Amino acid sequence: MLREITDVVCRALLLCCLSLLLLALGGALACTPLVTDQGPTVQLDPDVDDRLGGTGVESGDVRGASEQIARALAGMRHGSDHPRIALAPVQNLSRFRIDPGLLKNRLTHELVQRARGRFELIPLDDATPTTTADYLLKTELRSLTKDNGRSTSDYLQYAFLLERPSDHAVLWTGMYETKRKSDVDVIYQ
Amino acid sequence: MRSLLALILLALSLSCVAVKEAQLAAENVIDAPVVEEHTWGRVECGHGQVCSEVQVARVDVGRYDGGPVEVTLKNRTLASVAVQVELQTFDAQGRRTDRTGFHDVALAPRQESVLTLWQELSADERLVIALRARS
Repeated sequence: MLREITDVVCRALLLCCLSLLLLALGGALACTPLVTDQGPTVQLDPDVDDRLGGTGVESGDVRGASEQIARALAGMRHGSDHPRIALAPVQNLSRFRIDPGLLKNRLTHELVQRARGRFELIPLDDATPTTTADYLLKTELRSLTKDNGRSTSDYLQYAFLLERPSDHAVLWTGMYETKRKSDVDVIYQ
Repeated sequence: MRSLLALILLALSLSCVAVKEAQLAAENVIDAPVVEEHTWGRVECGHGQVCSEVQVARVDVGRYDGGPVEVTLKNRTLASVAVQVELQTFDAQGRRTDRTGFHDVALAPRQESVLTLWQELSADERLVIALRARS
């Protein structure tokens, strides 16, 4: 009698487990995942690592450096009311062939967003005289590379310099630096 | 036949939700989000592991002319780690007043690093620091 009851309970438990398993399997099969790492195109947050490797300029660096510098410039006290800051073309002297306009555009955007009437921005090209501005913001990108045949490391330096065009006095500097090592060689362009 | 098919589809969709909820609950148990409350605000980690490996050692707020805010992070592990830090400010009514992007901070083993960001903070504003792994 006891054995029969035990058998019935065991069968019922087994049936329950099987049903749950089937339900879970059905659920798993029915669920369409929302994760983005499936399919030929993947949408990424620009600040997140794309896992392609490489040691150069990342989208997060362009955004991060621009924001940090814009915040610092917006937060500092300026000598005159509503000074005019000219933004010189970005000098890319690093080994990475990236479009310097990426940094200039992002920097312009961040500066305009944070200026709130505290200063005016003048995008500068080679033809514009710097005398129209109270300050000149220069941006330079340089790199130092190490390679032992298996791995490469790059130290990248984004140097920002605010000078007074009338006498070239350096009034403020900002620095954004990265150092990355990778076993994967990738192309930046 | 149609009603049977509808029943199967309903059962599948219901079980999908149940399975997904169970999966998320399991993930939350394994690597639960962590919130640390401080006098100046709070630290939030979507993945608790990040907060266990990297500690916000101190926060210095310059409450004049928009900052700066200095966040000192400490790597508690014996390996180099890279995290991303986001700062948000909220006023006394809980409204968000400013938000930065996520900034990379690399930390040498058991070393500290300071992230400096200029943030416009008034005396009654609270700071929320979000930490996440870089990749």
